[in-house]
Amino acid sequence: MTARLLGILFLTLFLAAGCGGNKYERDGYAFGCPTGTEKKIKSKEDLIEAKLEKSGNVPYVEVVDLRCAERNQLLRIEVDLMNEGSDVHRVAYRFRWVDREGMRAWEDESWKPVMIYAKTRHTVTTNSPNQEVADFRVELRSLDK
Amino acid sequence: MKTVTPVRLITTAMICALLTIAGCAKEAVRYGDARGVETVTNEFGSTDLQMIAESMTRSMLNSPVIASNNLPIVTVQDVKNKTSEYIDTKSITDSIRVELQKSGKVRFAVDAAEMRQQIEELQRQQSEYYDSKQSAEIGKMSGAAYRLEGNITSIVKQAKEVKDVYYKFNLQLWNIQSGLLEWTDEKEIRKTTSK
Repeated sequence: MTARLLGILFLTLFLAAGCGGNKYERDGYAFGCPTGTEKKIKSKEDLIEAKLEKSGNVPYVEVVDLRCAERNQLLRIEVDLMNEGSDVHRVAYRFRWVDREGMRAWEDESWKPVMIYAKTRHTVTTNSPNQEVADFRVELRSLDK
Repeated sequence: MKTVTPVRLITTAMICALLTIAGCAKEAVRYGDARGVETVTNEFGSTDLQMIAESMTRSMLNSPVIASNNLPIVTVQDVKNKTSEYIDTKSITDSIRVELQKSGKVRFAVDAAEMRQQIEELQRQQSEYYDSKQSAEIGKMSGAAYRLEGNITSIVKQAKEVKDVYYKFNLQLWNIQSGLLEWTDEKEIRKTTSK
């Protein structure tokens, strides 16, 4: 009886540990992405809010997912943009790179225009430009006139 | 009292009108964002150049040759312009070279276009005016292990009120000794103008 109870307890603890988040997550990272100075990232929505900087109003196009990974000592980032509207919309994006001290780790990137079809998801991908990069921001602005 | 003749009246009115038009046509000069999206015409522009350079560099940084952290020596060769318009392809390769050099993962050897100046400087330092102990020695230049070359092509379609331009930029990194293609990537850009 005791063995059965202990077994159930271990199973419960094991499952609870599995639900408790990514056990491979390192300090200063959330969902694989560096958190920088932002410490209160509990969900993907928090992460997107912390990393996204909109220049003015960007109607219809939303960042719906953000993924990060380390490849060859560089940060690889994928950003999913979703056009919620019923027409084609155009936006421009660029990344801003920050080092461990919060200083700019790279010069301003060029704005890159993207056309997104109605009700469609578009993924933009990039790598950090050098190994000094420790954090990033995604800048987004509308190109619809 | 003088009377104003119709001819004098018309001449004065014309001068006034010309002065007003000249005033309206005054040019306004403003600084813009060098990194902004440029859509003045659908010919090859600054945004295309910047997007190509950035895309190619970031892709190349992930290639095994560059990612190995062995600081490979690369020489830049021509990017052939196979489009119907004039494109300064040297400007594209210069931008790629700047980004790669700043990444700290690649070193560049002097390329064919810069060779004459390099040799002239080496020879100049051999003259009696230089301290021979501090002069660069002949025969010590480093040869590149890889060469970077590419091409840009375009397809232009034009109907009555629509002009569509498709650019494809292709870049390749070749191993000079083995002749193997170590990395290649391409960037596509489509621009449409409608009246």
